[in-house]
Amino acid sequence: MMTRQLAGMPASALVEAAPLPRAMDVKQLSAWYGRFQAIRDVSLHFPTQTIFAIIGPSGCGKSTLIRCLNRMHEVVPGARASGEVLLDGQDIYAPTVDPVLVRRRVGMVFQKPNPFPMMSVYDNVIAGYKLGKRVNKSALDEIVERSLRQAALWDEVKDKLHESGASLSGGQQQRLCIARTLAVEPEIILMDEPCSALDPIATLKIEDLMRNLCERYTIVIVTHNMQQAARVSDQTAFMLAGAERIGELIEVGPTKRMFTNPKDKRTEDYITGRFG
Amino acid sequence: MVRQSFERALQHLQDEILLLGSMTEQAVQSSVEALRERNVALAKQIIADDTRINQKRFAIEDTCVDIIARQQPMARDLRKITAALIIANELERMADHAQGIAKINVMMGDEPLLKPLVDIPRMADKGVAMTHEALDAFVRGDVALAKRVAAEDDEVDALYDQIYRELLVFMLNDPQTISRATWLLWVAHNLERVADRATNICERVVFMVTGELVEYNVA
Repeated sequence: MMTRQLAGMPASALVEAAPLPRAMDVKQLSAWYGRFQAIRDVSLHFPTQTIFAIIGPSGCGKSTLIRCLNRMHEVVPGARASGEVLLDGQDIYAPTVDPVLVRRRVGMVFQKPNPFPMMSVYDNVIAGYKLGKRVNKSALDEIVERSLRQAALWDEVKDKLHESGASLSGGQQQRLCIARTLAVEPEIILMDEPCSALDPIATLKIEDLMRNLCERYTIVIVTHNMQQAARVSDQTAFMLAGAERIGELIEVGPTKRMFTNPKDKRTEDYITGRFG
Repeated sequence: MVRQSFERALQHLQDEILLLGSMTEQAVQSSVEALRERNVALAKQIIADDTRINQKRFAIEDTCVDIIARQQPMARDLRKITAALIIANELERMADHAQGIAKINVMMGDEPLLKPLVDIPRMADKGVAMTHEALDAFVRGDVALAKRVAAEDDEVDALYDQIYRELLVFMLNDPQTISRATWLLWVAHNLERVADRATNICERVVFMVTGELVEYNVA
């Protein structure tokens, strides 16, 4: 297995693909921050049109794992990874692949809603889309409306598209960030604790949205909240940091089975709150 | 509407309960029909079909466990799911009574009926109607209807007493009739239990709506 320094990859050979749902495969993935190893030998298959949840206690490496899936991990100084992450069969860590294009194909929604505060709702949606492109106004209008509709936000903001994105409620801001991710037509959407800063109703709205989006996208969500994983996902993976504090995959399976009849005692202990 | 997938899961659960209900009603009705016609082939079919009913009940149980584990239901939703678990059990056991009647039919072999059936079909009709209405009350969350249906159990009990006395007279007058009278008594007993279970469903409807556990099925 080859270990690579991830920062500063050469320019891309990845062709921008049509936004069809794509499967993703992780093979023997390990990741480090300097000398500290965060995850070891994780292999997973993320099928198309499913919501895949990764659960586990703090420090188990779940956020590191998801950040490896669109090469966000390598932006941390000293961070590196080994193994393979295959998007539609192609290794996103291949030397010819441009990480910026990877991040267009594999979008990410973060824990705290992070709209650009100085930008309008409209400009927030197309912020990622417009990068390095000249696009005419009517095409942009179309993308804004489509993305906001997909993010179940259009009806709430259609009359204030030119107001600041920061004027929206927390739940609306998070859906705005989802719209911004959708605008670039990714194939995979990664969500890192997307509801942890939201109230229960806004959380349930995002979960409904995820269920609708998964008809067109492959979604991977990392969450502390295992009830959320149970509610929203089709497949669940449980990670745990072992003896040397290195995160490992303990068990993976259909969410229903994972929450009603897990095979591994450590999974059972975690989901029943008998951990430690 | 928020929680679309939860709402869909609850709707699916309700549909499954209604489906099990119609399978059970059909089994009870057919078991008495087969007895009246001394149709042993139909009776054997009812016995065989009971497996499907058992499977449906397990599927409902599985659905309930899935919803509890994954949707974290609270308050009325939680009561609805626990009610559904118990209702599925009651319906499945009702179908066992239908199977019991079918087995008696098979056991009777070539023996003719002791007498033409009058009150036994009435008991079956009443029990099936009660079950149907109890499930309507479940779907509508209608406590008043549930209470009304539960009260109808007295009519079934009265029919059972009447059949019991009538058959006792046959047996006292002619001990040769004891086995054929006993068969019919067993059939009536099965039907009396069907109505009891319909009453149990009504109790669950009241629990689902009000949160109160009531006992209607008191001797």
